[in-house]
Amino acid sequence: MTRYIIIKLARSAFTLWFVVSAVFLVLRASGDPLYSIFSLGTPESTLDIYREKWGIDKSIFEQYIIYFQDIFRGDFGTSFFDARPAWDLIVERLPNTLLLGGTTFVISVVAGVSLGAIAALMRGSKWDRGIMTVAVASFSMPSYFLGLLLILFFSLEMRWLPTAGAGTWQHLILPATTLGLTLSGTIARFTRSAMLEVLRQPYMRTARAKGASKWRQIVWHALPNAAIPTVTVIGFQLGWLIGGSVVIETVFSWPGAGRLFIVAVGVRDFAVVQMFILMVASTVIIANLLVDILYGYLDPRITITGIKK
Amino acid sequence: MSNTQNHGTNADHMAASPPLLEVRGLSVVFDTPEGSHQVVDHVDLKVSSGQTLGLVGESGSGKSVTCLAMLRLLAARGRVINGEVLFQEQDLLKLSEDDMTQLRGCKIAMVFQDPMVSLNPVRTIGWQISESLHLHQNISREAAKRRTLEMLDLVGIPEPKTRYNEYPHQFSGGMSQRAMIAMAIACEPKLLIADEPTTALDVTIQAQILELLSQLKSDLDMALILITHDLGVIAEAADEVAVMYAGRVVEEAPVFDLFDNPMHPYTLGLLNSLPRVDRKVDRLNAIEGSAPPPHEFVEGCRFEQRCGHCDDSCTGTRPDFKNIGTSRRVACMHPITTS
Repeated sequence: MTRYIIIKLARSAFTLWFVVSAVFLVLRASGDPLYSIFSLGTPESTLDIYREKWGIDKSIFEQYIIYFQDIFRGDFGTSFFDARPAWDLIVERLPNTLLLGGTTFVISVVAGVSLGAIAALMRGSKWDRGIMTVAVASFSMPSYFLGLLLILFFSLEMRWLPTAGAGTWQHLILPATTLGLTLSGTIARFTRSAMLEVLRQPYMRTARAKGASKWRQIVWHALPNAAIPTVTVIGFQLGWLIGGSVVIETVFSWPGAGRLFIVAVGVRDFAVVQMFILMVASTVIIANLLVDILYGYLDPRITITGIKK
Repeated sequence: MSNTQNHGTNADHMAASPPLLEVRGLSVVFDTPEGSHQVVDHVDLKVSSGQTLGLVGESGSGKSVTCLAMLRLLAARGRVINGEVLFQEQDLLKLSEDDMTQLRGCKIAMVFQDPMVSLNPVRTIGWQISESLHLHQNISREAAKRRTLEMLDLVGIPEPKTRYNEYPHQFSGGMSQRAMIAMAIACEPKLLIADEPTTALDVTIQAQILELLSQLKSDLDMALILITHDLGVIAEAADEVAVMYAGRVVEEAPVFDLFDNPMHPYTLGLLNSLPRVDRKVDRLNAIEGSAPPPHEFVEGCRFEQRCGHCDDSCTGTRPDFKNIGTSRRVACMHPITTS
């Protein structure tokens, strides 16, 4: 187990280093941030003062060394724009992002898995076709487009829900629905195919032959097997969820870290962008690690190198 | 429990009490996009407690479908269109689904062909066997575990305590089949249906499993239906034999009579196709041609195309069963008589 964790951690560290370095280079290749922060016509001499103050007058290599030294000291840089630590800026917006992402995730998993299972159990029926039509439509449609449609109908036409902002549960409904429809559509489709695969396995016939009720066959015999491929997909979707929430937070002016990130990219606010990417990469890595561990619990046939069962 | 029953025919026994299971005129249709095919055609079977009925035939002859239909376990596209399945004088086809669920695994249990895939891969062996007990008996967790360990021991699985917590992938084929049998007999069923229980196993393991089934049959006074395509298995384990061909039973006889004196040309062909140790043969005597697929089933004798004894009377009308003595019957226009 220890060996396995060490290998995993080493790989994760490498991935993080790679992502962070790539972002670092791409950002600096994208142009001088001073021109997007200060208005045109500001004298170069003024800009030079700030360049020196923010340390971007040095060579890329020097900046890179300093950046990493700072990371290990727990300093993730200072926003050019707000003059506050990037860490603080992102962390204070995290609760909103987690609220939106978490709600979406929980609802999507519950809805996606149960709808997918229902579709599989009623294969070929009206329910199956109905669920799958909605699922395919929802994940084929770009989320920002779906979001706009929902705003048009529920906010502008019916005047039931606010178009933007945060604060009450009503604010949460539209962005969470937009993100959740796409996510649960994907999960439902995978659950359905996993369930269909499981339902035609001989051990399901054994369960019937031993006199298990329909409900018991599904919950105790089929679902635990169908969960194995489904969990993989859900794990992958977590990365997608973060990406999707960046877009949705912008569409619905949701005051979360994703929207901060979009603004920061626009003004080349190096520290904030780097900090956000570092955080997203860590989240995805942790999610994949959790999926791996969960796998071992779900599927007794899998023993990870180094783990003795 | 009586172990005193004779092997072979027991006409007195049959007459004294109705058989445990009697199938009458069972017909099953499979609906496919190309149309409906009647894959089981008016099958009659009987089996009594303490007896083994061997159901023999080629793949696709309808033996498994017959048994699945009896337990109402057919896939959605299969349906019974005709017949009765009398178990303890009760027609199973008329029971409610709830009553049927109660009965499955409790009074009638089934063991399947491929044990490695017939056990749920994510549940421990112990969980799967004790589930049978929990489903049909009001039994505490500890009692179920104790009983499961007994069952594991009974079917000859060494170190039951360790094996209890293991998963199917940690079991060999033979051990898996033993576990399947333990699961099936946990509630001491009256009837055990074993569908090709040894086909996926090594020959040495086959003999052990058959021995185990016979042993359990007499210990628990069960009736056993043994589905197989292997005449060797029949010779070893069956008391009565029903030979199926293309969805119909063509001959029924006590096992020794069948082997000594096959009366249906198909049975004869099957027996002739076995390799003999007492004779030197260069080639096996295979039956020419192959069994017709369901969409080519005819009303007349379905073996006609491959039969050396046929004439015009074989075409068109279904050959009726002729009773030969009290214990056997054959559905052929020109049954082979002993020379």
